[in-house]
Amino acid sequence: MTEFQNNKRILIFSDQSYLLQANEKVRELTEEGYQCEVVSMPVSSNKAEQLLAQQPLGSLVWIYSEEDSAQAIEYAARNAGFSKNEIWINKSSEQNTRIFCSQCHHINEISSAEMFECERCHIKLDPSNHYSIYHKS
Amino acid sequence: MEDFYEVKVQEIKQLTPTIKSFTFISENTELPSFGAGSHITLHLPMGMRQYSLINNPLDMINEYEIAVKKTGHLESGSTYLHEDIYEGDVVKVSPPDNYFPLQMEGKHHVFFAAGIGITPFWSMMSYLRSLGESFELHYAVSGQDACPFYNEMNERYANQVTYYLMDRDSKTKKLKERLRELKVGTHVYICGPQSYMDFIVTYCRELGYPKKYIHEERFKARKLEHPTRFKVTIVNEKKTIQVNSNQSLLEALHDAGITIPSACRQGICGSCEVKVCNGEVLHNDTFLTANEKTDKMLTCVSRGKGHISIAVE
Amino acid sequence: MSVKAEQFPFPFTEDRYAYSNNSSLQKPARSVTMTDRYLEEIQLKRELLQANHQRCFRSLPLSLESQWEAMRRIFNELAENEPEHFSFEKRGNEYRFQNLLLGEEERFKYRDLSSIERQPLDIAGRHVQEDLIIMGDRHDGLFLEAGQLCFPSNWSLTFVLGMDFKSIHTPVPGITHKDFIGKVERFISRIRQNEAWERKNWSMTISNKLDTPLETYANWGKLRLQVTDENVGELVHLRVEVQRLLRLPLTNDILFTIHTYLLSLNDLIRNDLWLKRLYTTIQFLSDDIAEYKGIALYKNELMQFLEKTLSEKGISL
Ligand code: HEM
Ligand code: FES
Repeated sequence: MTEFQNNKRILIFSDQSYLLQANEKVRELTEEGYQCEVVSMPVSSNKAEQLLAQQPLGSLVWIYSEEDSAQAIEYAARNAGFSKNEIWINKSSEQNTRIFCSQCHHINEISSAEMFECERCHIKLDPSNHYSIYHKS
Repeated sequence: MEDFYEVKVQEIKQLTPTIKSFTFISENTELPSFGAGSHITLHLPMGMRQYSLINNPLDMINEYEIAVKKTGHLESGSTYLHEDIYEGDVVKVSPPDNYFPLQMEGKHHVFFAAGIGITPFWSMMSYLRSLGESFELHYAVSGQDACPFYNEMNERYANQVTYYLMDRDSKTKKLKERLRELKVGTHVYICGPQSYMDFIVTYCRELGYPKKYIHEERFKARKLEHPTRFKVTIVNEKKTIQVNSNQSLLEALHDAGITIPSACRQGICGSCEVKVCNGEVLHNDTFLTANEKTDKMLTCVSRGKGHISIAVE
Repeated sequence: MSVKAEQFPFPFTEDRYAYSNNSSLQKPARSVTMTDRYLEEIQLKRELLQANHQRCFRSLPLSLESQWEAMRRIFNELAENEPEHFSFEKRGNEYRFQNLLLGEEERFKYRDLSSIERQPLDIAGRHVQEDLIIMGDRHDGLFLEAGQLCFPSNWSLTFVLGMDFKSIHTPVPGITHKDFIGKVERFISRIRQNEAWERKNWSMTISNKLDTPLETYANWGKLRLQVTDENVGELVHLRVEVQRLLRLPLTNDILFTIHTYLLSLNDLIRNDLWLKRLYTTIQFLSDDIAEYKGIALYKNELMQFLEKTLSEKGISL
């Protein structure tokens, strides 16, 4: 039996600042036979949820946006039933690394991987690369 | 949990002209609970036979309920159950196993059943109803008389069930229409004759629905019922050994001084894997993927046919 | 909190240690065990839960059904295996669990949240020495969906909540070698309903402290620097986690329980075989695992102590 192929539909959420990049990508994907729909952000959470829930089974979600709004869309997509590997977030949007403080659970944004102090509880942290998709850090 | 239980037939009901339900109870032991989609294995004179449980797992007190369709073969398990089993008889059953669980993260569950394939869904629907989850049933059955729970079905699930009582072509068309509309968050479950299941699975694949959302009930034996002897050449050790019918390849290798790691000895952990270089293998595990089975085998449960050759690390 | 040597589940069956799937099927299937540290450990648990509830109990909404199932299962096991200490009665949908050791009682209506004051796993965990974790078996893998965790060996429940099985294990050195952890996940997904598998994991803890979460590392981690030739036998404890994996039949999720045992080296070396095995294991332990388990900092002192004891006892290897 041949393997199942993912559905060739992609719902793309994009911030104004990424629209050029997103549209460029859509051109490429369309040539490869994908059906893309671009939603420009900001978008109300109701609207996003509604759009997500209407997607055919096996569709993909791509998000071109800054962290916080990307996270909101991702959360809504997970809630609508998308699998973790059906959601893709534009990684270049993460200029700062998010570090989860192991002591007080505050999430710090830092730009280098040196030792630093947690902004909330002031413990010294030596960042590791253990990553949580849940906390995004 | 025991390897098997002796249970008493408490009640037999004629559901349709060809389908009977059987309720088994135990008077002295607590029967293990089960999840929707589970089956039990009955130890019958003609061998082991698996049947889906139809009771609501949340309502189970200490009974197992199955529904069996008489297939007509004289030698079959179903004929035996229909003709030779009476209320009060005692039967041996292995504890429930579940190859067909509900994916509880699903937002909506869509069941496709044909004929007696309704049985696992009867349990799933009552479970989902108790939980308040969303589902629908598409049921292909030759007529109202052939439908085992017709009245109850219409009373309880009037808004969830669609019957397919029409001719083949219209049936296919209507199924395809529904399948084309599936939305994200849906899990699909299929149970019925092989051709029916293949039709739905193939169409789902054409539509680009990922396999992880499409679940098929496939019964298969846990254990080879009659293992036979075979020969094995261990290529990189330049040794050939015999595996007797009463031992596993893992044990035979061990006796020959070749120790490979093992843990579960049930074909579920993958620890005892070896490379297969040549020969036909009777795979008996539930661990390896179809692709892995082309050149690997698990020595605790799988066997060779005739003479095979393998390589160990 | 050390346990008596007779109740200590010594983990080494060979002289070398490497990560492997060391799980074995348990008959009968049990998820919890009582030792004579019961009262002390329950008291400590309750204090930790009181002081740091957020750190010790976390759950996602999807885990609720499994929490109910786990609670009922655990109370049933306690009443069945220790009938002199616990009882569990059912009348229709109403249940009553009695803990005679603590003089406590839990009453609830199954699956009725209005009948309980805490989440079910948070109730059940207060009556057993084990830490309790629910791993949801989803179509795209196993995910940590709830936990009551008081005695972790340097990890954080809050951090791993919602995380998939593989990602939880990324800090472990070499764990992806030959897809080890992928195969373990596949194994877990094949565990049959009502079956329980057991494995042992080990580490070392300085002092007899059970609660060593990542969150308070700053307080207990520094003790590793205080090990000297004189105090090693008293300070260093072998820490063994007896872990059980039970497939909950109704929800098809996994209840993962961790029972942590500590034994000081001074107590451990009374057993010659244990002494020998521990020595050879530490001797051949790879550097990255020694580092991961935090042993690297005092490995010299530890080895000298074990060698000295072996020669005093006249044991040859
Ligand atoms: C399903 C439940 C399980 C959970 C929730 C779990 C969780 C964890 C966690 C949180 C750690 C510590 C990671 C860190 O340092 O941050 C760990 C370590 C580890 N786990 Fe698991 N685990 C589970 C099952 C298993 C199984 C079944 C195996 C193997 C058969 C396994 C093998 C290991 C190993 C080898 C380590 C490193 C331990 C050491 O060297 O101290 N785990 N696990
Ligand atoms: S020992 Fe587990 S698959 Fe063979």
